This record gives sequence, C-alpha cells and structure tokens, in this order.
Amino acid sequence: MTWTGKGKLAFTGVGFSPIERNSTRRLGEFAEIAIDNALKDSGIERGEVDGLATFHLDGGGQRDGLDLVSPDYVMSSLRLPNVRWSCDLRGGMVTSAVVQAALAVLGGACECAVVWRAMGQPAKKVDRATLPALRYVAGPAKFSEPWGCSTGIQWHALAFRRYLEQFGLSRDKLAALVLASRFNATLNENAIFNDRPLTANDYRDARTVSDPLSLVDCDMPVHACAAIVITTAERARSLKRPPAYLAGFSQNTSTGSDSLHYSLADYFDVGRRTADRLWRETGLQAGDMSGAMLYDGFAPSVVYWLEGAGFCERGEGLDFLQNGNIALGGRLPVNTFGGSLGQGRLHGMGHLAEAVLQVSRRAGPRQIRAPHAVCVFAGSPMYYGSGMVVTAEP
Amino acid sequence: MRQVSGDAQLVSWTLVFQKLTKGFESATPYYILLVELVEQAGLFFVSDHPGDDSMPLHLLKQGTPMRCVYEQVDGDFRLPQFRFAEERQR
Repeated sequence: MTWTGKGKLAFTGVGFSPIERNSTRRLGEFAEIAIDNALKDSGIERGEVDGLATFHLDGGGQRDGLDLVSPDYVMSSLRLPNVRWSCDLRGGMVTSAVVQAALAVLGGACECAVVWRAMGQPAKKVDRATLPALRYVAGPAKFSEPWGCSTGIQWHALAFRRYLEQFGLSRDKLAALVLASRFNATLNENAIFNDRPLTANDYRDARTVSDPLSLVDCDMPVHACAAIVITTAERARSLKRPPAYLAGFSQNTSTGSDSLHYSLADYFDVGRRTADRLWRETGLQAGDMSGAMLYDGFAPSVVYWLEGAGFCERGEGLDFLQNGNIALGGRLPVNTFGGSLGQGRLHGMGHLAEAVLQVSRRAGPRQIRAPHAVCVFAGSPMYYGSGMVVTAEP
Repeated sequence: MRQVSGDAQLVSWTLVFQKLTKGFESATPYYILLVELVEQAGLFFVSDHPGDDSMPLHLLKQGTPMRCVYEQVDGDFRLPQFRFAEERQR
C-alpha cells in the first residue's frame, strides 16, 4: 500500500547561497539569499509563504542568525507576513524537516512552505593540543574516547576497513566515486570545488586522516544554505516551472546503537530497512530510478546506500562505482551535483535540491536523460538515515 | 552483570594520522582496534595500540585472537586493552 500523499505535493524551486570557506559573514545572510533564490526560482511571492521548516544540530553557544538560522529569524529578516506554521527540528536529516513541511501542507496547516538547511563551518580550527588533557568522559563516549576513538571518521574508518577485509577489496576503488563527484562539481556553480577537479594522482596522494580514509573521502565543511519550496501539486501546476512531485519518504527509527557507535552491521541494516520502506511507500524500486543522490559525508556511505537500496548486491558497491557506471550518462548517475564531497556539507539538502532539478529537467550541463524518478538517501545509513523519491509525473 | 573471559577476536582497525582526539596528540599515529568478545556476537570493544614498529602488521587480520590486558594509565586508573593473544604468550 503506497503512501496516501503520493503525487499530491510538489517541490517548485530550489535556491542556494554562495558556498564559502572561512567566511566572516553571518549565517543569516546565507539563509536569506538561499530562501530568496528558492522563492524566485519557484515564482512565488514572499506573501504566499505560510510555512517554514528547518533543522540543525545542537551545539553549545549557538546564536540565532549567526551560527544557526531559525524560522523566527527568517520570518523577521525576510519580512514574511503570512507564516502560520513553522518547525525547528533539533537533529535529524534533511528528510525530517522536509517531511514535516510536506505533512503540514498535506494536512492544511499551510499551503506553501520553505525548508532550508544553513550550515557554518566551525568558527575556527581548534588546536586540540592546547586543550587540557581529558580526564573524565561520560555518556556513550566513555566506551570509546579513552582509547582515542572520538570522531565520526574513526568509526567510519573502522567500518570501511571491516568492509574491505570482509569482501577482500582495496580502498583504491573508492577513487571512482570521489573523482566522479569532483568532476560533477565542476559542472555545478553551487559547489565549493566548482573550479577544482581532482585527478587520480591527487586521490592517491591525499593525506590519510584515519586509514583507510583520506581527506578527499570527507565532505568539506562550508558556510552555505540551500532552500527548497514545497506546495500542493495543484498550486505547483499553475507556476512557470515544471514541478517535482514527492512520491514518498522513509526514516530510520531503529534504536539499536547510539548515535556515535555505529558498526558495519548497522550501516547494512539501516540502509536496507530504510530503502525497503521507501520502495514500499512509493510503489517504486531501485530499477525505476533514473538517478540517485546518496549521502556522502564520508565516501563509503555511498557504497552502503547502493547496496542497501538494492542497486547492487552486498559487497558489490565498490565495483558498481567503476567504469563510468555512476557518471552522467552511466547506468545510474550518482550525485550529479558533486555530492557533499564536491559541493560542500549541506546535510542532504544539496542532494534533495539536485533531485528536484533533475526531474524537472533544469540541471543544465549535468542533466541526466529521461529523469522520471530520482531517489535521495540522506544520512550515513545510521541513526538519521532517511530516504525520499521525487518524480517528474505525479 | 556477567563475567567474561577477556578473549576476543579482531574485527577491524584504523591507523589514525590526524590529531582528532584530545590526549592522543603525542601518540599519533596510533591504531584503534575493534574487537568482538567471544561471549557474544556483535559485542564490541575498542582498544588503542601504538602505530609504530611494535605493531605486527601481518597479525592485522579479521578473526585474529585477542586477549584483554590492563594498562596502568596513572594512579590507580587502569584501562582494559586488547592485545594479540599470540604476542602475549611470547
């Protein structure tokens, strides 16, 4: 039984701010630009916006408009007079805020909602050597930090090493994904690496952060915002742009591991479960997809999503990346906008924006052929794993 | 609470080159080892190990038997660490 909302909602436009490194501008400025661009892209006036949704991760000392951007901030800074519904999620992934907005439109809480993700890179590089040595640690981290294991990349490295050993593979094959993503970014003006493609030699020589992962296997923290407009299919059809319909969504709700300690088995399980649910909700399958936007905060996540979603068998994800299979014009174009690896870290909003541009045939030099349906899988198949499908027809 | 044997097997590892974790700056590069206790599938434990010549690279294989030892950190603070069972017997 497919989702009752299938085809009743549509994305009408997307907007980006400039994507910058080491910016001195307030994050609020980035959000204002991105939202303004999304509204212009949609052909929707500010007065018509009556719903707002965003999500951000909790962090100490964050200030609204400076290092996070709330609905209240947007309402007053952009002077949106008619907002009657808003949602400010702590945590989650792009899907969670978009789903809230979708359900609000479907249920009549609002008719035209803007969703955005504004992200800043950490204020300044922390020289950890100057911090006092850690004496005590509490919570889940107490099971790993005393042994020097405290960050996401270390857990990803452990999981990916396990994957490589289990299937007798080498990390070299991951290069195909990173190189394709960085090439795609050169075709996307909204990408931090728009002017900097990566060569095979660059990949080989990149600095190792936590073996088997190097610097170029990680997304780039940036100052940026991406925004999207969602409304009823009926309203969307009266606008100048072709709509991108929301076919359905799914969110991982497992509570197996905490949000820090993820193993390869978790990535496998969450990827499979999230994808199975998405295919059931949408009545579609991997084989129906014209392209896939797969979360790549760390490059191996793309491999786990490819396998979990059924684009290939378990253990075949790295092979799937080879021979131009995932390139523009390949069997399954992946992360045609450059992914977070090429665009910069926008926590899945860039992935969704690209899916919308592709199915509405507005992706310019990176347009894929026959873009009937494009899936978005956000998060690292873990705690916040989520999926969505957008289609050209309702 | 259930007593366990301290026996485990190696599941995965990473050699950390970047100073990511407070207190480990001078120890970098170092290994993080992921082991699975023999008592329960999926019950993992992490360890660290110097990333120098003392690491027998040929032993870095999934399934290698590991054994818990206690590292004296400072004062009365001891940290469980997993080491190659074979190395310990030598």
